[in-house]
Amino acid sequence: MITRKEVEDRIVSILREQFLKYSAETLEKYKDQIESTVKWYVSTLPRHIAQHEAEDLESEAKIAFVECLKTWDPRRGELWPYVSVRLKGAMQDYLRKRGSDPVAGLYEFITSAANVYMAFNRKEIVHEEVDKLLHIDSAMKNFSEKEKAVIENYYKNDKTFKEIGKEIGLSESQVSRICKEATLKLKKALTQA
Amino acid sequence: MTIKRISDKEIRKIGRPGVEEVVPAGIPPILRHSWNFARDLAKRFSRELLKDRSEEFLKKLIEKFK
Repeated sequence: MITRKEVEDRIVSILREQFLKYSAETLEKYKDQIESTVKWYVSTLPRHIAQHEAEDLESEAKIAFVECLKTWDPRRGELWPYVSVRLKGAMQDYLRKRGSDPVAGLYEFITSAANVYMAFNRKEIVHEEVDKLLHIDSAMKNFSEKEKAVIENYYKNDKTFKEIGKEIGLSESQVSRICKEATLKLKKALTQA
Repeated sequence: MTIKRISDKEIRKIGRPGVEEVVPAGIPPILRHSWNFARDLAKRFSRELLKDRSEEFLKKLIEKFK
C-alpha cells in the first residue's frame, strides 16, 4: 500500500523535474540578487584575490545556484534563503580548491620559505635573504625588464598595480596581466629549481 | 430569542466545498487524494519562473500518474 507521503514525494519529484527544464528562467529572475551576493562576498576578500577572482566567483555562484534548484524542496521553505547560504559556501569552496592559484600559491610558498629561514637562523627576515633562499634572481634571469619591475614592485615594495603602471608607463590592467603571467613563470621556475 | 453570530467568516457546510477546491475530472484516484497539495506545489514552483507554468506542470503530472 502506498502512503500519502510517498505519493507527495513522487509529486514533488515530478514537478521538480518539470521546473528544472526552466532553470534558465529562475536564473534570470534571480540574476541581480546573485550578482549582489557575489559583489558583497568579493568586497570581503583581500584585494589581490578579489581582482583576479571576481569573474570566476560569479560563474561559480551561478553554477551553485542551478545545483541548488535540484535539491530545493518548496515544502521546507522559500528558495532564496535556501540558496543564498549555499552560494557563499560554494564561493568559499572554490577559493579553497584554488590551491594552485598563481598569486596565492606564490604567497604561501614565500611565507613558508620565510618561516623555515626564521626557524633556522633566528634573524629578522630581510628581502635579500629571502631572495637568496628562493633563488628569485636566478629564476627571473629570462624575464623582460617590465616583468622584473612589476614582480619586484608588487611583491617586494608592496606597491599597487596603479602605482607600478605610473612608474613604467602602463595601464593598471596591463600591469595586472603582466603580473599574473610573470608570477606563473616565476612559480614554474622556482618549483623546477 | 436573538441569534448571535460568532464568526464573520463565510460559513461552509461539510460536503459542499468552494468552487476552487473541486478536483477536475479525469484525474487518477491516487492523485485525486493529494490534488490540493499538487496544485499548491505547482504554483509554488511556478512562482520562481518568469511566467506562470502551473497548468503545464499539472498536465504533465497527470500524464505521469496515469
